[in-house]
Amino acid sequence: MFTWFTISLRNIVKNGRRSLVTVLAIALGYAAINLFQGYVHSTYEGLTTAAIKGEGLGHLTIFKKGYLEQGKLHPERYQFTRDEAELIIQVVRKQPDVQLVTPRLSVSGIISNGRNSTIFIAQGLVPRDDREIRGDIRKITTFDGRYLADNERSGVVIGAELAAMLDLTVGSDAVVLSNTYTGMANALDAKVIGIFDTGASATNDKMVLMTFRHAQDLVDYTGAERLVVLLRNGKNGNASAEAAARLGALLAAEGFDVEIRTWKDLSVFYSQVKNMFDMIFLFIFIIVLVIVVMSVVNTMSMSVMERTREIGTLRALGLKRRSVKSLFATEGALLGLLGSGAGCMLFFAVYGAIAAAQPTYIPPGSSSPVPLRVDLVWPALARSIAFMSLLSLLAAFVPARRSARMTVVDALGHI
Amino acid sequence: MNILEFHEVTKDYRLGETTVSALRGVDLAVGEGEFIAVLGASGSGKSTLLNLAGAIDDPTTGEVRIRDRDAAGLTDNEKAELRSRSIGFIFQNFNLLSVLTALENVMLSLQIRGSRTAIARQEAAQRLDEVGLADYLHHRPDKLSGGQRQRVAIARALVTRPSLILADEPTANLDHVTAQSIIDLMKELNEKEGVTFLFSTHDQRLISEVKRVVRIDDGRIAQ
Ligand SMILES: Nc1ncnc2c1ncn2[C@@H]1O[C@H](COP(=O)(O)OP(=O)(O)O)[C@@H](O)[C@H]1O
Ligand SMILES: [Mg+2]
Repeated sequence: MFTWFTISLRNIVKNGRRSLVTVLAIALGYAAINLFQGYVHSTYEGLTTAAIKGEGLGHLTIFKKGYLEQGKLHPERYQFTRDEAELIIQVVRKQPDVQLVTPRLSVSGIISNGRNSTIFIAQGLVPRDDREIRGDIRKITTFDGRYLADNERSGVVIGAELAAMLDLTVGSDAVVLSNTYTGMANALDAKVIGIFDTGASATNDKMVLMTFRHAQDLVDYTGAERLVVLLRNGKNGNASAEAAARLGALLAAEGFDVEIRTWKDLSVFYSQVKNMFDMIFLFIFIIVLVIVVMSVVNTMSMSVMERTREIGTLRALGLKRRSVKSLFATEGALLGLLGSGAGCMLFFAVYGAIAAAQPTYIPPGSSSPVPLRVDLVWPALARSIAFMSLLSLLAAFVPARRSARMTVVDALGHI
Repeated sequence: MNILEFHEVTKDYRLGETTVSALRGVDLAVGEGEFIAVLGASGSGKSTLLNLAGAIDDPTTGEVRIRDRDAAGLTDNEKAELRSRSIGFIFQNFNLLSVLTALENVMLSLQIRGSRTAIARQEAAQRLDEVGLADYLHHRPDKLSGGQRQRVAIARALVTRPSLILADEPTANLDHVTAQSIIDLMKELNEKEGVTFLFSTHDQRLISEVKRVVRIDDGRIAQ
């Protein structure tokens, strides 16, 4: 085995220039894939935080079974009654990995400044709990005024564009109108105490944050629409699915008919960005794949052609077809290995340069520049080495098969 | 028992529409320890004969028996096995691997058989010493003269202790003096170690000392 390895390596060195081109192609491909993966990784981390904290989704959301399909049509049937909500909260709160569980109630309707009105979507939430989930919202986004206090009564925090549309400022008085679940029109006072940028134009002109009690009063309902769970140590969001399954089983055993969704399921932004990145990755990946395969096939075809007589000689000496194939496959794999080795160095060079220069850029949907970051994802780096080597090996098999198929006499040449 | 037997062997090559008959009914027997020269003009069928003898080609009709086995009946892998165990090849163009040293080239024959590296190295060095290249073990082929390269090739053929060494015009690319020294070396190995040689040449001058000469003319053996 070692001999074949030596022969392969020496031939690679012997055809220095040609090998170098292939190795560089593989290296570039390797670096491109891993830099992008590192970038995506860092972005996902930001997105995860944005979804769990910024969007206030927490890690898990507990719904009554059927809510996601029918909840808007029959809110009373598919929401938790006050008793149900309290019992579930008791069960969930006892779990050691649960940091917090809090009820929410969303409401929609019309908001008016006295002369003009427009539609709104409101989150009724428990201010203290929400602060624990989001952290200080005033640090995350542009915020004017103050956030909901624990004992807030009619105070509301509204989206910046909504405020602009109705010419509302901090301190303005407004009225929110909605239908109760029994179908009666209801209006309540709403005092604007804070104005914030929701970060998404889809919600910035509709969003209202009010207290859970305020929302309950508006629709005249004492229950909760959903229960949001924040996990301890759920930092990177990976524990969520497992916790969801566990809590689901637990609640089912207690006789509650619930559905649990993770932040990933609920965050529209996360899945959109993820889908986009996945597409881009696939695109880069296919390009790299094609380049690597083509250059390895090309290089190895030339090698096979130049070494036809050598192949004939080896076979005359008793080397089996299979071994001839693996000789060239070894060479291909070696190219892949050298290429990913060089790619690793290239990756770290760029990684170091980015770390040193700390460039920034403005991502779409954002108003301020963010640092361009690339994470070190060791498993991905290692996986790519294995992948590139395997890919080169497979690519080398095409010409290698051709080498083995020749008859010995043909390979030796017509002397 | 004969190491090699040809029974009414013919070999045709198909070249498009036409068929070239390279061998037209050859009978030949090679006994253990023989030293045989196949003499013939260019195109007379020497290479074809040696290829068949080495199980790297199959006859069109007739039978080639190597160590009492019908070569045509063997699978590809069995033929490879047979070559590795029983046959040594020496080529006109030496056919050494350019990226390997003299020692590694000789070791290769043994490693193809699966011998351990240490053993292969020791045997290869010994064989190179025998062919007068003790000082050139670590030279690559491009640092060796033609005669030296062919000596490496002889050592490579010899190192597996084959029953039969086939050499197709081993001296065609060498000057006369070197060519003669190669033939002499083969003869010496034949006499000292009993290695059986079957080699071809078109050069009359080289075979004055050879006891058995098989003359081949237009695919037929002319005794
Ligand atoms: N692969 C081949 N295809 C077609 N014709 C061939 C082939 N090999 C040999 N021949 C023909 O067969 C005859 C014998 O060739 P060869 O055995 O090479 O003779 P020698 O080695 O004595 O020069 C020649 O006429 C040659 O042209
Ligand atoms: Mg010939």
